[in-house]
Amino acid sequence: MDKMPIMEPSIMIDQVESLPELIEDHVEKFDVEVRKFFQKINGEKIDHIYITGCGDSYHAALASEMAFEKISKINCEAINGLRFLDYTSEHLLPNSIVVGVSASGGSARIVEAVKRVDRSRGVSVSITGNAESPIAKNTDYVIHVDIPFMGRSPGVRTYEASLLGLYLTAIRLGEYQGQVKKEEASGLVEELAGLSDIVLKANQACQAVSKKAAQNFKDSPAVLFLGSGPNFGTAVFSAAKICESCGVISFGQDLEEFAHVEGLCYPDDMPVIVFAAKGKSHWRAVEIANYAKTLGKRVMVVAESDDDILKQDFDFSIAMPAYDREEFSPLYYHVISDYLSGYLTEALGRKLFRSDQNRTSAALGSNIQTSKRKN
Amino acid sequence: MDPVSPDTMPKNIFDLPNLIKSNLLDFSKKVASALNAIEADKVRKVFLVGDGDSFHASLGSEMAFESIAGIPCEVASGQKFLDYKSSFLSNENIDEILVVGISASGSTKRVIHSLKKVKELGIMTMAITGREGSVITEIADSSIVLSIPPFPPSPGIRSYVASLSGLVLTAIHLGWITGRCSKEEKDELIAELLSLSDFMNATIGSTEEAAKLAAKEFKEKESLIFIGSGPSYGTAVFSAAKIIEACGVFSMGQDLEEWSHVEFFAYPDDMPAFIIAPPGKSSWRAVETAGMTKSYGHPTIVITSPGNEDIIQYADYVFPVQGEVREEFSAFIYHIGVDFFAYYLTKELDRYLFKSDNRDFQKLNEAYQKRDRIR
Repeated sequence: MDKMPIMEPSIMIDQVESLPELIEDHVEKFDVEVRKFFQKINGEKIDHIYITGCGDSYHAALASEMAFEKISKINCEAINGLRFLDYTSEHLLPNSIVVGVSASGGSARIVEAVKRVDRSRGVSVSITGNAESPIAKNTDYVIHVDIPFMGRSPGVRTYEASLLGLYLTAIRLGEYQGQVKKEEASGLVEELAGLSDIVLKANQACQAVSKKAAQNFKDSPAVLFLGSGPNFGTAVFSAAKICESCGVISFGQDLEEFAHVEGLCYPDDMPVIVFAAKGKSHWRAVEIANYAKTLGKRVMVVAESDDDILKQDFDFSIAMPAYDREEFSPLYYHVISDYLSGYLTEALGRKLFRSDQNRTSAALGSNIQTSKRKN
Repeated sequence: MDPVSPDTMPKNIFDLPNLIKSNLLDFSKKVASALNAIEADKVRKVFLVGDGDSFHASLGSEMAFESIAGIPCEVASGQKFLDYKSSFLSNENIDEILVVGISASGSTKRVIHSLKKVKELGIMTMAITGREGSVITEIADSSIVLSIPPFPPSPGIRSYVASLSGLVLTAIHLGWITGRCSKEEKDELIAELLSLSDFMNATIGSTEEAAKLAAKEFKEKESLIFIGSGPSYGTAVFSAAKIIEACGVFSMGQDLEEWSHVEFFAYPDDMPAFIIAPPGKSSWRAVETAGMTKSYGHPTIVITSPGNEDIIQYADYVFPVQGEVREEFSAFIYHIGVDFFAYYLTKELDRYLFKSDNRDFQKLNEAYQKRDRIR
């Protein structure tokens, strides 16, 4: 049985602080991969996109739906791996691209899912960090988004790499579809690369506040993250980071659904982190943040530095760098959660992935790489 | 709101068989009539839009649209659809799209605004509601009003089953209208739905005692998790919502596969895990998941058919669901044990529904909810 080395919470901090360089060094390289893919499929009609993944890859899929729909102007569905495998794959719309996302390339469910894609309905492409992996070998095409390995960690760098791969695919798909001119597409790619600077500023904005927040939140049995649109993806990703880092049960929820359900939850002072990026649902994020505060929750608002919501009195406020494109905002909105996960793990005296407890894959554990579909 | 005793919940549960028996055929006629009022034969894609229980019912019926009607189906919460999905539909074949808004009250703001928005694009809209003359019926091109006699306030159980009825009957009728199934097949499916009344009765009989014992054992727990895939993901999130609405205990619904990637790491190790496992496409993964939850010390409660020994071997408690229920209809019945559990847990904790005994909470909440409704 493989035994995971004990993983210190500082690893999370190292991961998030490496992100600006990761973006700067890899956008152009990934763009080459993405353009190669569209050259290879030249002539294929595309009317629909499915993006499937598990865990972080599924969260990246959720966070990129808007980019695909807004830039390439075709319907995009983010679907988790098991749902795609057992339910959706039999009912694909014609002229589809199915994008399977797996950083390791070995996620059993996604490998099985992409094998199900009927070539008469569409093409399959993997976005993966490993071009020799099972997923790469089982899709029609591969977009290789490898990054230097920085040591095992709850996925932060790999999530960022998947997001970049997906956003670049959305941009070049828009160009392929004739919805975006070549110059505009190139401009968007440059803009993505420029987000390196935004992520750096986001890190600077988040670090000190997240450390304080971690001390404040450490007594809570649960943490809630709220967001809509692409930042619903950020919310579920954030909840996952907390779970993976320190084991505190966390939940990512849509802004509206909180008002219908989790608003009634105990404890009354549960920490609630609200992602209020500029964009289509910003207005609702402001309402929900105020509602949560009214109900007695410990509210952290994450919004842009020129946003009036930051003038209101919340328990914690994060002034993110101002940026206008909601569809790419998940690239930096998650950094608060990465810091919070690391500092909360430290505050609780725990280790990442419960790595001091041998609760890992192969040993007793979650069989996400070895599970095989039956029937 | 005056304090609402949890004793209203069993009344709602016990009425379910009668609700189906007395109303299903009438509901079916209403569905047929509503579909006749629009160009239902052109429908090639369906969006289901709802919040809270209506969102959960949509998740629970997605499979029926795809496998019975043969029509790809996408489910979105009201916020997501209003602010995101609907913005990008203008490039689709809008003549072939049907957007169904579900709102038991008929006044759910986000759902109403969603229908208004897509109507302006020329997209067909239909409402499923419990209230004649409600705002949503004034907006939609066509309405299915599924009135059921009012009962004392309770977390939505009857209204949920009514919504499920409207949705699944719509799927069945659409299947016939578009030529996917014959009239005989349609009638058989409706008869099969009607037979659920007897299975509900039997399931009420077989689950109540187990639910009562489980509630007694788990009353100290601060969090619960409900896990299922396909339509059972809808059941999982609905179940979590019932617990929260009834007694405020933190609960979440999760997909089977996603649990293995994320909540697998979560404390506490003795968090009860409810695995929803109807016979069906993902039952194999439900068995694996139950094996994992059990091996990690989570009290494991399995909701399944009585003969399913593969999964029952891992169970600390079984909520047995009676009758052969096809997976597409499983959401109607697989929640019943949890409805009882929610009731008994609330009694054990000596709480009132919807935190209705907490005057401060009620004052704040009522002021907010009043502001947020159309009427």
